[in-house]
Amino acid sequence: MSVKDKLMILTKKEYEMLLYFIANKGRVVSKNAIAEHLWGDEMDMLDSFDFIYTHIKNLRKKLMDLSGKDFFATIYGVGYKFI
Amino acid sequence: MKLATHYNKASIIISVSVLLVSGVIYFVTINHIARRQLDNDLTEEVTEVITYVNQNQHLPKPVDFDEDITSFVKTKLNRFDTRFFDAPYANPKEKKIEDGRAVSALIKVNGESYIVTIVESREETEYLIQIIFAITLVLTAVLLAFLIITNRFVLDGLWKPFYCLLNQVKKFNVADTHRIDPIASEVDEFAELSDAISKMSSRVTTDYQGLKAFTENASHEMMTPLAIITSKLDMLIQDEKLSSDQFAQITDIYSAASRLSRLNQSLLLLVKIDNNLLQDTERLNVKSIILEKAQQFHEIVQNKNIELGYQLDDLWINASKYLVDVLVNNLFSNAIRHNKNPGVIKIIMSASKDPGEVNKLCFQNTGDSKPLNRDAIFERFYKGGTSEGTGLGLAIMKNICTLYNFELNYEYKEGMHRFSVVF
Repeated sequence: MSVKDKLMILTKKEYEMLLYFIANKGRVVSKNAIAEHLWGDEMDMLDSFDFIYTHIKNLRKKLMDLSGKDFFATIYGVGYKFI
Repeated sequence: MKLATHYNKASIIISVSVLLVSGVIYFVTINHIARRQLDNDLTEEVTEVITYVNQNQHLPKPVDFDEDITSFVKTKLNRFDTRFFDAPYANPKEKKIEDGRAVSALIKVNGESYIVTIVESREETEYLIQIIFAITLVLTAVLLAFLIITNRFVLDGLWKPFYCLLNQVKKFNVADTHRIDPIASEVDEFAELSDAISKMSSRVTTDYQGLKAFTENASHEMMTPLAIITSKLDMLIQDEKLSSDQFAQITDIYSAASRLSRLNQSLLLLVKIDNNLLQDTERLNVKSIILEKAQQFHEIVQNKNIELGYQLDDLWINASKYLVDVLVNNLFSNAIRHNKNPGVIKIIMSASKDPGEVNKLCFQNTGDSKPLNRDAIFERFYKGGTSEGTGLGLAIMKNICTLYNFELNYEYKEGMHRFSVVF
């Protein structure tokens, strides 16, 4: 994927997550919904949503490094919004 | 043991016993009659001697007694009871000792008492008894052989409708539309049984089809309301004025709805497998599916500190990609879900190299230190103590394996739970 003509290397999960956020741009997306989208039936094997936090953190950093903008708004206790 | 064999066995035991007992009785009776006949002959001989003595006033010569051996012994006894007894008979012609029957009686000649003893050979009588005995034995053997052959053929013929029906019952599968056909039999009981089983199979098949249709319809009907619930919840959380408590409640509802949705999808999948609706059979490399799944589960495996090891041969099978994907997915999620932290998963797949070998995929994982209930784990909605799954994962695996005639087994060995699929 490229941002402002600069190559951005993402893992498979980060890529899937970014696509999901783009599809739901401007909408609040709960951690539960993200987990179900990424892991489907296996989401109940996740002990916590720490995975999501880690992926969002990495994705946010990669996008910020290339665009200088934070695309993710954290909605406390709810989830995230792609803006 | 077959009923006909039981019957044959009982029939032969009873027949042999009856024939043996009657043979002994027959032998004793014939022997007794022959002995009495001999005794009568000897009595007649004694009477002849007495008549001869009364007429001639002297003892007869031994030559007057044909082949009987006669002896006269002078005695002082005035009274002597005539007695019959077995005695050896010295055959003068053949110069050998034979079994004989003898009589001793008291006769008086010119005022002197003699004990006359006449010994007659029993050889002929015994020979006759032997002949009768041999004929009886041969007749018994012939009778037994006849009985066995008759029982075998007659009973086999009689029980044929029953075994035909039994074969149909064994092959009967409630999921098939094929029903048990009634069998024509001259035996009323079998005709009645066949009729009852045929009607029962029709009823069971109809009920089962109805139940399957109900499950399928109910699952389909539930999908729409579930989708509405999820989308409405999604809209609700867009309201940023929601308090964190309200959001927590919405998240719980969302989780429950998601769980219900997954359960519903699993039930639908079971119905599709049962009805063989997934017929997109293609040639698949199981190894690449496993590696793909290993990549998918990589994150969760790492998070749970599970050491994943595999040793995989290339194995190609013909099956639905979707179903094999579900099968491998469930094997993986089962091994992860019920593992401990830290734990181990070993995946071994061996492809047959010789005709005697089988294609086998085995997932081994650490977990609870006691084996699972082998008889119940493949039942729908069976869940181990702390399982958070739908309880349908193993049932789905079992149904997929049944559909493709794969063999799914479980064992607990050397501290590892092992699920294996023989292709």
